Amino acid sequence: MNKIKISGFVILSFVLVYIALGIGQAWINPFFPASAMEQTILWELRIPRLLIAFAVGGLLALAGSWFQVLLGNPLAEPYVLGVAGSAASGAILMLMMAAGSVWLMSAGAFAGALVGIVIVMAFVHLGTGRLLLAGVVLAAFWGAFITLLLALMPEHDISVAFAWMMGDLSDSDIPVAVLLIVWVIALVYGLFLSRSLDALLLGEKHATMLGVDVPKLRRVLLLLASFVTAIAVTAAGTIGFVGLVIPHLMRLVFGSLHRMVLPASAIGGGLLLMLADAASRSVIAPAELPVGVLTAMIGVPVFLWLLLKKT
Amino acid sequence: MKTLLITAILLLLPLHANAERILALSPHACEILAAIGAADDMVGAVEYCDYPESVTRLPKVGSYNRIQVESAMLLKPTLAVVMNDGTKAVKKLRKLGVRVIASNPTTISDMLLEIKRLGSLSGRVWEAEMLVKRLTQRLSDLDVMKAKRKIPVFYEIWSDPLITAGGSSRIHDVLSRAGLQNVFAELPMEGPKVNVEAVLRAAPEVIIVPAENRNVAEREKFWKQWLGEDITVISVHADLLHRPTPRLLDGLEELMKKIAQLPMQQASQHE
Repeated sequence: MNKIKISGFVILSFVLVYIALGIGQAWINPFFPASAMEQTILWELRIPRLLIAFAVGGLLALAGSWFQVLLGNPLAEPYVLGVAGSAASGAILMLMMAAGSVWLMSAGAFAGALVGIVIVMAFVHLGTGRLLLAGVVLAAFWGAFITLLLALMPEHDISVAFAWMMGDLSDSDIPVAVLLIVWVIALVYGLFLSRSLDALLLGEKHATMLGVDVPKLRRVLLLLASFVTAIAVTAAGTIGFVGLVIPHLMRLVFGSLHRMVLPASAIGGGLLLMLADAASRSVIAPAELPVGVLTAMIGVPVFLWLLLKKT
Repeated sequence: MKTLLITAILLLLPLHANAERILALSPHACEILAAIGAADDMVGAVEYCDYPESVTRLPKVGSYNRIQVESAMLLKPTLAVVMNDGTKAVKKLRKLGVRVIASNPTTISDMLLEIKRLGSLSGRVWEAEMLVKRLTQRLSDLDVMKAKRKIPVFYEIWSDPLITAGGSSRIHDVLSRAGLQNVFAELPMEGPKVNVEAVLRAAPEVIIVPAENRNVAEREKFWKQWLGEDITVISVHADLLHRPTPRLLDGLEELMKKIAQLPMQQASQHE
């Protein structure tokens, strides 16, 4: 059964990549670009952009699945809990203080993500309702903080604010290759932890009985989720709901064992963001829509549906 | 003769006796009012009102889209020229008895009408008439300079994200005046976000980069990498081209001169 599902998933992935590459202002056949210009557009614009979207989407989905284990809550996700916002705040703060250095910006995003997660963790024991409420309020706070920073920036421009708050995949400050390497490392490390993650999902007591060092696992997850969120945010701004929709969908299809959920999420998240980005640059072409708008359009109904189902 | 008569009558009228106390609540309102000699009647301005020198000393009452009503009212204004009269602050000003005039010209022709309107509102009808006459003359002089062939151009309002001027924008009007073909004229938004692929497909021959907060040499390198070494990148003065004021003609002239000097243009002139 699983073999059929996996082969189906692989075939679907190839079809989606084909569509995402071909679609745009005008259709380009990915196998046979018709002219030199189409060749350039395909290889130097669409493929790098597709890879950025794929890596960022995959990282967001991985971060989402870790958040869900870490907080023991299926509705946890970097954007919903305001952690994407805190990471963006850290990145913009560094951008203002040390303009131009991508690595300082990533470091700022990392510190921001850590701060965001630590605040969120204080609300975990209060149950889903309060956790989500805290997330909403925190997300609003970080949104206001970003607006404040942008208002203080000397070259303040509304379009720059949009790129940070609604996501922008047209170019990444972090090289594509680095993003893909981070994607691979995050996935491999996640797989390495998958047994402990499965155990933790059943409850802290259960995990301890199975010999998992729970406090240590939580620390590792905290750092890992912060790191991955930080990289994704530095590369593309804040993009919501990929980390929520994808792990959930993958659990529905492949069951809840992390050795299946993690790779499926890393690929599925990539595919979803890739499609959302293809739509964002095609719908009103030659102009573009912010990609975060599209992921929210898909993500919010799914989120509400999950919320209804839970109660 | 008629003009002379009107002039004489106007000069005799005690126009400035009951002068308005004007709040110029946008950078272009500041410039236009100063240009028609109403600087003495201006009591307040907003951020970015930085031309001419005389208006920089005026007290600032916020920015054009965020006006501080209290500090504005302390200046005892009788007339306020605003860019957007839908904001709460502006409604408040009106409620408090200030006469509010909305001014947001989107084309050069509108700008000329605006000068006349502000002239009559501030009692500078004559100065405004003269200024418009001068500007109209200059526009028709510039019109002669216009290229025979409409060169397709891409106007880069912002580089990251890539924002350009749509068909309804002021910059689009300026480009048409300069005899250029805005490659994104068909987009209805004022400042649409586009991408490199869209620019490649639109095949502009010239990229125009406003030299404001941007490294023009870097932008030139960027565009040459995508559009080939043949692409021409020229820089323009943003404050001149982006504001609907008399200085816009300086910006237009600068742009047209730069275009006229291009090799492709000189070649087509000799045809």
